Amino acid sequence: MQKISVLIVAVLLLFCTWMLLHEEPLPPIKVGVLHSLSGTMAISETPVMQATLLAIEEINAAGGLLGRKVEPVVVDGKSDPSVFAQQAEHLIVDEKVSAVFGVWTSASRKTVKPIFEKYNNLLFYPVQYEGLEQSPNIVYTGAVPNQQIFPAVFWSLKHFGPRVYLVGSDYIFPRVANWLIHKQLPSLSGEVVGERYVPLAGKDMAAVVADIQSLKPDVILNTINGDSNIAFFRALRDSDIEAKDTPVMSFSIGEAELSQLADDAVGDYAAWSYFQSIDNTINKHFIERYQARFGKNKPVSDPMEAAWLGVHLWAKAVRAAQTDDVAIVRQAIKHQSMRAAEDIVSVDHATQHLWKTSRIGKIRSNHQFDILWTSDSPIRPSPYPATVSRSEARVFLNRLYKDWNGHWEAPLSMESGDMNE
Amino acid sequence: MQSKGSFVHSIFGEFIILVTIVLIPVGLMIGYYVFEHVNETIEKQYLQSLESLADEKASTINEYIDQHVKHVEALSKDRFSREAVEAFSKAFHGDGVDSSAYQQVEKIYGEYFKESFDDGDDYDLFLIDVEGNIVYTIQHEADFATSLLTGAYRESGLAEVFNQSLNHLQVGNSTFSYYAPSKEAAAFIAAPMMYQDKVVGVVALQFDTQRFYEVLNNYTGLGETGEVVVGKRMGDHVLITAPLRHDANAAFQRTVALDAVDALPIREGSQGETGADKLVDWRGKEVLAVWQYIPALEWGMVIKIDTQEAFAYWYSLRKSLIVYSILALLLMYIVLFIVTRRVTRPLRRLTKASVDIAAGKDDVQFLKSGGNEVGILSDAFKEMFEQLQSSKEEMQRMLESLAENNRLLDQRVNEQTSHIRAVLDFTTDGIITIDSYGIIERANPAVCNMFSYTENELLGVSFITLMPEKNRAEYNQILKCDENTEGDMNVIRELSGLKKTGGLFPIELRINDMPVGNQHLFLATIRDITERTELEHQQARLMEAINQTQDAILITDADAVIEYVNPAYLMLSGYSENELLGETPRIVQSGEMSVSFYKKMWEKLLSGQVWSGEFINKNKNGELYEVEQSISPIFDISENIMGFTSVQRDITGEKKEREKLEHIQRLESLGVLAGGIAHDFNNLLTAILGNTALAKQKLEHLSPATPLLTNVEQASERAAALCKQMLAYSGKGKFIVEPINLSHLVHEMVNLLEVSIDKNVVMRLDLSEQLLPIEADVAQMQQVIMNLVINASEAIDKHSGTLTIYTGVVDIDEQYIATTYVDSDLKVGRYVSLEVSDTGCGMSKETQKHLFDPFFTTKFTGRGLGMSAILGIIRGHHGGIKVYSELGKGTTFKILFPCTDVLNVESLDKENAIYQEQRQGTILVIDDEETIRATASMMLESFGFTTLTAQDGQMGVQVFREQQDEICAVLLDMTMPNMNGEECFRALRAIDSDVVVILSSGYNQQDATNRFAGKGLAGFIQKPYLPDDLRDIVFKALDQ
Repeated sequence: MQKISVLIVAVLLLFCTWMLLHEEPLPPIKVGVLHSLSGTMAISETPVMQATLLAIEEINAAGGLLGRKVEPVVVDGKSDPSVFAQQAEHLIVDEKVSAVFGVWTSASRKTVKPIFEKYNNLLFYPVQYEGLEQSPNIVYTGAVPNQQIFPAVFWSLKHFGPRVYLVGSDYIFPRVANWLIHKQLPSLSGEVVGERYVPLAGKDMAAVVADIQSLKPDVILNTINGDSNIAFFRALRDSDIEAKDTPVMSFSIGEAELSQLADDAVGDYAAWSYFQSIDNTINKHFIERYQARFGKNKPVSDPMEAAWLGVHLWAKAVRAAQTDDVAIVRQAIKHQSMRAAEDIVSVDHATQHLWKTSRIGKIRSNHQFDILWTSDSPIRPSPYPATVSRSEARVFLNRLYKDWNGHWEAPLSMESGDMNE
Repeated sequence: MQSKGSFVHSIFGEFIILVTIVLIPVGLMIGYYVFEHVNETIEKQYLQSLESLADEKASTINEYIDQHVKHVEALSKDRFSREAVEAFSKAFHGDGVDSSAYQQVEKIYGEYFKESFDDGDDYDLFLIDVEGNIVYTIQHEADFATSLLTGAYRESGLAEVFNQSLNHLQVGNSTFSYYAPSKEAAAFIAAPMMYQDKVVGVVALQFDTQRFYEVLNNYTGLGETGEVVVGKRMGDHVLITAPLRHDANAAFQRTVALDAVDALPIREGSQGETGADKLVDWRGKEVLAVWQYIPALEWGMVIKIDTQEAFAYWYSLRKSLIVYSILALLLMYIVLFIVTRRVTRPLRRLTKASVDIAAGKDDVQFLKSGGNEVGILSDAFKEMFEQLQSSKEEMQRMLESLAENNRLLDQRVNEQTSHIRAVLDFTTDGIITIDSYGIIERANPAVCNMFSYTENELLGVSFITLMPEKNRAEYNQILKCDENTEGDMNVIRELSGLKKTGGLFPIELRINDMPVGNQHLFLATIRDITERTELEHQQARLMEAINQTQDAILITDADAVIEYVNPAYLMLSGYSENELLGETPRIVQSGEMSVSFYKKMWEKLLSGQVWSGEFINKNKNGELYEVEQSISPIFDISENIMGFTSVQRDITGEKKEREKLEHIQRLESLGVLAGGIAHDFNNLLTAILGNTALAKQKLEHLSPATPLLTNVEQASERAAALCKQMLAYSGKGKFIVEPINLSHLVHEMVNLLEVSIDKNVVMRLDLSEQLLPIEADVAQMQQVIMNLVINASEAIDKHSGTLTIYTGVVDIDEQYIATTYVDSDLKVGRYVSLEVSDTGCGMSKETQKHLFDPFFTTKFTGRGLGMSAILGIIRGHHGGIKVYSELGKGTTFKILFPCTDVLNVESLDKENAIYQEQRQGTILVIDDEETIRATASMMLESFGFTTLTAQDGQMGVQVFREQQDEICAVLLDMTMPNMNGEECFRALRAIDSDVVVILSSGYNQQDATNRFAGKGLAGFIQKPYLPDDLRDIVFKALDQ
């Protein structure tokens, strides 16, 4: 009898100890990381993916979220919008992720957008883009034209003169950007002296250079993307078009691209919300952590910072919501703001774009920028600028889509050329 | 009440202490845990509701601003507004705002704006032309008609939103800041008015600040202490931008430094962060606060409530809980006290009863029977008490009866004691009691007598005093053993005792362990065994004599059943002791003795007399032996025969020796006689022959006496020859000793021998070419050979037969010597043998017995001196002779002569005296032929080798296995019994695969080596071989 009693007491004590000590580990919060890890975009997207992972690691290092670890599920979009769509669906349906961080090109974004809306999931899109879009299922952490292009155009005209030459890659962003510049210039008494598009990855800059040489614009507004920039700047310098005479204001050249341009772009300008050379403690730590994790001297650029802060904003929303339930997090995200490397960023509750600071930098020879101008405060995001109405925008986009045979970029066979309207 | 100590040790006290120790800490722990948890939960929940409030508040503000954005956007896109601004501008730039033109315009458009103006939310509306002139306001405050680019208010919020709209073509709003025209804080929102892609003007709204503050400072859900704090970061401090609940004048007056220790929420919030926590606010009070950032106003917003208020309900609840808990505890103690007292009361009474019992009281009070466990215990206790009482009386009775018994016992003990004392006094054994230290406690008179002490001298003395020095250690050892074994110890030792006078005498000491009460005593019994020891010594000596004697001794009982035999008898009879004991001496009867012999023996013995005589007995192996025996009857006290003793001496060998000696002596005396006779006879014959020759010379040639004299001469010469034989027999024949080779000698004599033998006898010679020389007289050797050959020929007689002469070398040992006829001079060693064999009639045993007797002959013509002479010659040369003969089969005489030294041979054998290479090492010769072994060994030794020999394959393998390290080569015969050369070779190779084996065989080489093809044979030599052949083969094999 006594033995049985002792046994029962011992079992109960063991049970209590076990109950106290054994905490069922909570399942991790899964998030998707959707970027091109192969194909032409891999070179641009890989650092963005790394910045995303860095933020996730930072959150986990600080104890995770709601007592749970954040588990990234990294998938490859293979630089193909259709693959992006498949992978997005896979992440949401199969992996049951609470949010997805990623996507770069507008083409990819536009193909995945309906999927996120269909499954009511949440995408954090980290790249500056052309605007004219809004979705309750996307948080846009990059700048829209009124936060990048408009201030830059105003600044350029003020500093270099009213005669503007537009050059861009032939896909949606440059087309929309230039369309908006066309709308903006009259109010600023500026004029477009010429406009030309080169195919994505195109290298033939003869026509562009000839234009510039003949038109002699005060400033060139450059929306060329990717490798073509190398050819463009080489061609400019080869034709003795110097930055001091005909400065180029670029909208798609960041620190990552500078390293490929040798010194051809030194003295020219770029507009971003974030430059690696921003001098504040948060940016310093961000760069240190990134480089410690992914490689010394690796450049850090605007989309990377936007990706990184996107993860942190999402984490704040999850904390505020006390759940990773997408529907509730979507509500909570509207009230989030934080001190990011670029300065304070806040989610605009109406558009789910960010209030962002605008900056203009001058390219230095060390692949970095001298920051020449910073907006007084973060600028309210206007995905649909005041210069165009929503219906105008819709018509314009539909026309592009139709012209490109149902794609968001010009087919390669398409001739580049003037697009004066 | 009991004392403190007894309270602690009473069941009641322990129970109360236990409850106190267990319940209070457990209660406190649970209470603490619950309180902490509730605290935490309340805090969390409160913060969450504050967050919701903050979200709501932020949404309200945002919506408020959004409304204005929409309003201003709507105005900016309104065609009427656009026209208005153009019209106002025109009028403004025309005659100014005071002109009638302007008033005209205002009349047209002003009404419209005033109507559409929501004075609930907005304070003022502005139309500004592209040059920055405020061309229209509703309020017409001081800012009206001023330029926002150059005028007094170019730094105002209105100017800021104007520039934003104009430059960036988007809606812009300002945050709240002091605006002089309105004399209060103001915020503006503006939108560009576009026409044909060009900006034609800007429309702006001024928020109704009071209305905004009302919206902001809605404290619903924030209780009495809740507060909304908004602030804007201005460089290194935060400016509070709206009135506070606790400080109505705070707006644009109160600031918080960014590095302040308190007011963290507004500092964080104004820098873009969101959060929630419990901390100290700007008033220094602990609050629950949440904070957010409102981008449109660049404001941080904090919503907070004093912890005191948030937790007020919980605090009061907590207080009540504590009070109730204490009351519950007190109540529990009271109940516990009462219950425990009730439960322990019977126990206390029971305790008192047991104390009474212990004190021996008879009137013990017990509880009423029945009830709970304590009642049952009390009943059991009562029963036990009653049983105890009756047991006590029973015990009393038993004690009395025991006392009586004791008295009787004492009496008996006294009687027994005096009895024992008498026994001790009169016993011849000494009895001593010793204590555990070895001190004598008591000693009986026998001890005193034995050791010549008085009793008083012994008492108190160490027991070892009675022992000589050499025995004391042993005695101590005995006592020690005894102590260790604890009782049941019965040690008997034979030791020496030491008398007081110093004399030693043997004693038997027995020590017993004798525990007496707690004392550990020893009882030593000492017996003087002087006489017994003496007797034992005598007996032992006798026994030893009997065992050692060479004479066989047998003791039987009266029925002649063997009771004892000594070792000599066992040796003699060949039986073991077990086989003999219980048997009668008939076991060794040979049957050689007659029945009457035994009869006479028994008659004599049974009459009590000693019988002596010689017996022929048979041992266990069936061999006869002869003994000289003396049998004596053994008598008991009443003179009855109780057994017999027989002493026997083996005289078998002695008798043989005696016979042999007699024979030799006889032959020697005959030799002496024959020698003497021959000597004298030779002298006489010399005279006879001389005289006869002279007589013949004197006679005429044809004298009839001449033939007679010739007969005399011939008879004399035969007599001379006979004398010569006799001299030889006597061993005194003159001979010149020189080294001779018997083989050579036989060769030289072949012609002579062939004429001496019958024609039907075939003479075969088997003569060793490598025979060692012997030191001998050539003539006598010739005589020996001739005699043997003639005898052999004669033995063959008329039949056809073979006579073989063989020479060789043989190593002989003592066993071999024993079988030779002349053994007196033979030594172990190497001998040259000469054999003469025939296939003749052979000899009977009897003939063989007298073979060498002089004048014994089986021939008609012989004189019986031939063999005697041979024996004489052999003895003269220190040789030996062996005879093998079988009737009808033939006879072989083998004569052995000692070899001469090998060195002498070499010096002698001039032909072989060339230099011979010498080698070292041991060679094993395996051959079943003794002569081959000897000859080969001799040859090999002459090359410098050491040799080992083996007579068959098995032995060869054994020798090789034992001494393989020394053996450098093996000379192996092919054909052998037991294990032939082939098998032996395989066995040797198995032991050492590199063994050097030279095969020797009578087969031809081809045949022999075919059998060993490819098996690693080192060489082959064909029999017979010469030394040079062997040397070449051996050296070659070793050099390979």
